[in-house]
Amino acid sequence: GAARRLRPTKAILSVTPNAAARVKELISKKNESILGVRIGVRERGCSGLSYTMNYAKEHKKGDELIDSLGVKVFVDPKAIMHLIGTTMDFKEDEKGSEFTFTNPNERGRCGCGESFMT
Amino acid sequence: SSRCFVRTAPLCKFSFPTLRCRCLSTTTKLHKNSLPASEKTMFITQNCVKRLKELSVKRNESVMLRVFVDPGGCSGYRYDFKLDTVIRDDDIVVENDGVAVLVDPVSWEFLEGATVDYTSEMIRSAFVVATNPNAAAKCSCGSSFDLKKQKTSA
Repeated sequence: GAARRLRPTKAILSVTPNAAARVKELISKKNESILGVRIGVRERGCSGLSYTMNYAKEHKKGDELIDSLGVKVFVDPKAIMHLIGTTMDFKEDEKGSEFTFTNPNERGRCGCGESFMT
Repeated sequence: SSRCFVRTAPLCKFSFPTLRCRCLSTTTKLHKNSLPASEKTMFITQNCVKRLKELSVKRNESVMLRVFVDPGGCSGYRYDFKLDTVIRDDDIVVENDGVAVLVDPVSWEFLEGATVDYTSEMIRSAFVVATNPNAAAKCSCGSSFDLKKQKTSA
């Protein structure tokens, strides 16, 4: 028979109200039609991986959709196993602003916090 | 074609933003570590200028950016930033278009000739040191670096 596909039952990603508000703000500034944001990981940094974020114009095959607090977050299939249980937040102060990821899979983190390993 | 003003704080009789500063023209030469030893300068990008002006308006006071270097990060040293309103006696003050970047003398040895920028990306907006002629290698995230030559004061 067909290969059994295992799906995790844990929430892949949760979005805080701050993060949702920022995603809405970013999308509202775009003129194109944007569905939401796509979160992924890529190989970068001294600890191996870093988070990526882009505008999502379409629901790509394999993307995991998190529809929460009025925003759609697509998780790249390659990133799912690295991200299960992650909370996405948005922090802002006078020095700058950034999306932060609290990821229970992280085993180590670069000193600057921009890259991690699972 | 922005102009860059440089002056060490002890020589400044007036408080920011009325510092009277020597004017240096910014040519591409200033981007490289090829200045005479007496020339002390740093680049401040327009994005950085804009951000500091926004913050000054928000706070209703002159906000200056303090850039400093700490040990840390995977490449040995890392940059850090702080918003400041006070110029210390030994600060080196780099001014561009009415905003100032402050650097302490120890950090200055690591930062002379560097470019300070404010990047606005989707995932992150932050002050960064975009280029630094003193850095031999940097962490891919850009917040940590190693020196070309060992500094005596380090």
